[in-house]
Amino acid sequence: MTARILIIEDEALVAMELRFVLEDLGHDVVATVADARSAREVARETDVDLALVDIHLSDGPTGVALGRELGQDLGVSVLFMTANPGMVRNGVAGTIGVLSKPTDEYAVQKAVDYALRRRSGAPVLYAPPELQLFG
Amino acid sequence: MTQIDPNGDSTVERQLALTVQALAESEAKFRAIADSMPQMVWSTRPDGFHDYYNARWYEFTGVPEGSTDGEGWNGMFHPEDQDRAFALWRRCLDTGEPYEIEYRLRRHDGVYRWTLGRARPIRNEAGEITRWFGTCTDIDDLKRSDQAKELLSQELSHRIKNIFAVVSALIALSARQHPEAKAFATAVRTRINALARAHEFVRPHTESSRPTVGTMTLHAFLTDLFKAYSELSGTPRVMVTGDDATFDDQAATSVALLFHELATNAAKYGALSVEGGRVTLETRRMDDRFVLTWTETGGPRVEGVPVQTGFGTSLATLSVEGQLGGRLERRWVPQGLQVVADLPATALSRRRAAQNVA
Repeated sequence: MTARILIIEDEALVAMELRFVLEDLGHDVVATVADARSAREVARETDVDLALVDIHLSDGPTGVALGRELGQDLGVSVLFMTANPGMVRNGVAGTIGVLSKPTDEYAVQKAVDYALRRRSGAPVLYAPPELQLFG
Repeated sequence: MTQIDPNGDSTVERQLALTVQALAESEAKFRAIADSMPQMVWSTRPDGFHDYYNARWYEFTGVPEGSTDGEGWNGMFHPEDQDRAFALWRRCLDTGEPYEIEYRLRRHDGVYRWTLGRARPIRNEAGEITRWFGTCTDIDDLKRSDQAKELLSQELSHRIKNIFAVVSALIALSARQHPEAKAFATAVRTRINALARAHEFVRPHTESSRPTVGTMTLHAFLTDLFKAYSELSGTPRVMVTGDDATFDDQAATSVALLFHELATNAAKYGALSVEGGRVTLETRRMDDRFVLTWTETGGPRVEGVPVQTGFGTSLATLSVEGQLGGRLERRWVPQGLQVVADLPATALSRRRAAQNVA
């Protein structure tokens, strides 16, 4: 399954490595953005299947609200990736779950596969252990 | 009040007059002391009816004298604190326990200031409460300073975790330019990721910044670290049991590296390399020692001590024996590897142990 993925991360090096990992897995990285406003622009102008969202972005801790909006209003599947999973301890409506940074490629791959399976409506038995699901 | 004639014939009358005079002097003394104190002072009847406030209270709150008598004081508190304070005050009235609570009190200019309220009962010879005396102390500056420290601490913690993520990405990106180094890069990254995880579970140095230990413990960290090795259904394959402990940043690296190595090797060659394999990790405090026992079962049969010591193995030894000052023993039992790490009880929290001694 190839997906159109939006990376929302303000550390350029982390974003770049994540892009390579996803492209190696055969996905199409639509864009890499560092703040909420740019993310909204991309999501409105392009079709995005999955967004990987950091909580702390270059315009402040705007990731949570952004993720909720992408998930609830724009039909994007949302996974949070953050060094601070405590900030979304109680879950975020409209989003799937959170991965703790730093992650490894394998954990990212499993999480992305899981998210895409759920998006396509295919049955999913288990989530990867590193992915903390919401709800 | 009946006039007592101090020059009257009766001794009783004279004594009464002297007593009244002494009481008046005593009351004047009390008011002088209470009005000179920097704190607000108040007093109530046994039923909690406030009938006295010193000058500080009226200066601070700016309210007309007598307007907060009875239970009017509660309205001076921040709306979010009113119920909590009232409930505690009622409980103290019923039980006679000393009253102590932090709340926000409205100053004459409308600004709410954090205040420490304390009160103690006075009892008569029969043990019954006859009066409550209390004080309000402005602690707003202290409170804001604590909040600022807490914010700073959180920001630092976030930055540290972020740096780990950046370093990990840097290594991965560098490896892409040097494909021959990919295996090395992966080995380093997984170790760094283990370090980053460990630091998330380190207890902060300031005791006050986190009232309860909660999830910042050794067992919580280990459970998180071993999540990657669980079955698809989420059933853990490494079972952590025994006495939990907290650990500080000095021990975090060693703890992370030790268990990262044990798990990685188990996944490559030992119990975690086959489906039915399991590991139990028992941690026990025994007198002045803390002992961690790692036991693998259900894996490939162990054929004896391996010939070469992998670098991973000696890193674990270095961590336990060097950094933590303990002993590390490996037993190559046919059913599966057993590893025992025997540490001084203070090894995991050396900073705190040093503080307690000093």
